[in-house]
Amino acid sequence: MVPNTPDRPVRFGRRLFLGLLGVGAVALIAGQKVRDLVGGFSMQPIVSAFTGGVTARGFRIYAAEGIPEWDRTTWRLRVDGLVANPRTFTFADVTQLPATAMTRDFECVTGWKVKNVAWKGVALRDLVQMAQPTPRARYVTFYSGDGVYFDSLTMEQAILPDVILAYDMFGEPLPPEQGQPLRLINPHMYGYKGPKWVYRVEFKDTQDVGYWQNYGYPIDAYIEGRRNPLLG
Amino acid sequence: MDTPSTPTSKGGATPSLANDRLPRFGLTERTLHWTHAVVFLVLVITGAAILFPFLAASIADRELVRAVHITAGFGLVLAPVAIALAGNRRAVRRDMADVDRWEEDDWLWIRGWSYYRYGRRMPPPQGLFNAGQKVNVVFTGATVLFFFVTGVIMWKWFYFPRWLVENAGGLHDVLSALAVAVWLGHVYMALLNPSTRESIRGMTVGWVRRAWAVEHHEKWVDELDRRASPHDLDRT
Repeated sequence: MVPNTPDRPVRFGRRLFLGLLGVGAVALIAGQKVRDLVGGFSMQPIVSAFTGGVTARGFRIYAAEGIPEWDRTTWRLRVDGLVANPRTFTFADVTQLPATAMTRDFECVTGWKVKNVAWKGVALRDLVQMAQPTPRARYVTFYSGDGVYFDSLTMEQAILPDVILAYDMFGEPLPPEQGQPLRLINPHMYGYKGPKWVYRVEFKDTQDVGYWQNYGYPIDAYIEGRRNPLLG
Repeated sequence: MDTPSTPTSKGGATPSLANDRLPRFGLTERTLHWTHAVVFLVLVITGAAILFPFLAASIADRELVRAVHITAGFGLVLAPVAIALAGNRRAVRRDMADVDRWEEDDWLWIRGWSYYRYGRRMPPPQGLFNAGQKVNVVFTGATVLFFFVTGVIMWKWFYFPRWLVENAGGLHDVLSALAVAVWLGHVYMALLNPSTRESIRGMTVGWVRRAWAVEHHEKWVDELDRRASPHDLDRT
């Protein structure tokens, strides 16, 4: 390398440090592009190796309070609040409602995304039709079975045709860590706006500030770079 | 290579230590090292709990895990700075200067690295830190910086453009894998590898055996002998 003698040492330590800062800066600015160029390297194989393939599709599992147990026989979905027809559904009832299927990218705010996730479930607008919200009902809150997590949408956001309570994922029943039996999928927004293990949908005249909003997250989490469906 | 290359009449002329013991790291350096070690392990454990579903699923209080991870993340950057400033700054400066300074023997060391492990060849004489240790220090410093920057971007994602958050998340992942791999190598050298494990004594009790130091850090021993006085020992 650099010819030098003990009398004239090279200050290589700081050069190496600056060099690594340069490499890191390139990764920070152009990481995705570099990754695409070298063929989509990701940590996913490593993560999957440790997890027995639970996240083989690239999902990371976040749960505010662990994964709640699901008992098919006792579980009910409640649709209530400011509605003319409050309803309670068994899981069999839910799967017999008209189904909506779609394939959309799933994106998390912490930087990972899963492309082309196939979902199937009940469109919120179908539940709205059944429950008949009163004119005062302008917001919808979704409660998670973990007893802690919840989030909300405006009525306009909730009745978009591709906002669903999903019970199938990639053609299989939703696994426990993905929200078995029901999770809210709103493909226009980041994942935190879609509570898992949903057991109650409440129509309200004020908007509840959801779990992550208490940490400063925005209440409307439209995925950057996608068209806001409400602005046309 | 078994005998020091300089006369050792004054060897080990350290007043407070036995003749075969050489003072290696003072209180500041050791506090710095072990604080970093604890913070790093807390981050590895909490980070793994967030990343790996089989752990994440069994955690009852994810909010706490997240809070600990973020707090420790600040500790990763602030703790070493605070300790260095409050402690023996001269010792830290000396260490940094040694990491910075590369002599011909360092390049020779890098070139022959793979041989030393099998005892097929003795490494060229090294100073306070050998070339591998120097690379480790620089690597650690740079990764700490990027762990922090990418971590803050992921934590406060709503202040940053999406492309930056995605890149930060990816870089945070890659750094985690690299850091754990390097750490495993570090632990192997310090605890298991017979020829290098003497070194951990310098980081625990603060001294190493002279015979070992002559073999692994000959130029450092020479320097100690030349000065014939304890170097930069903490007075506190």
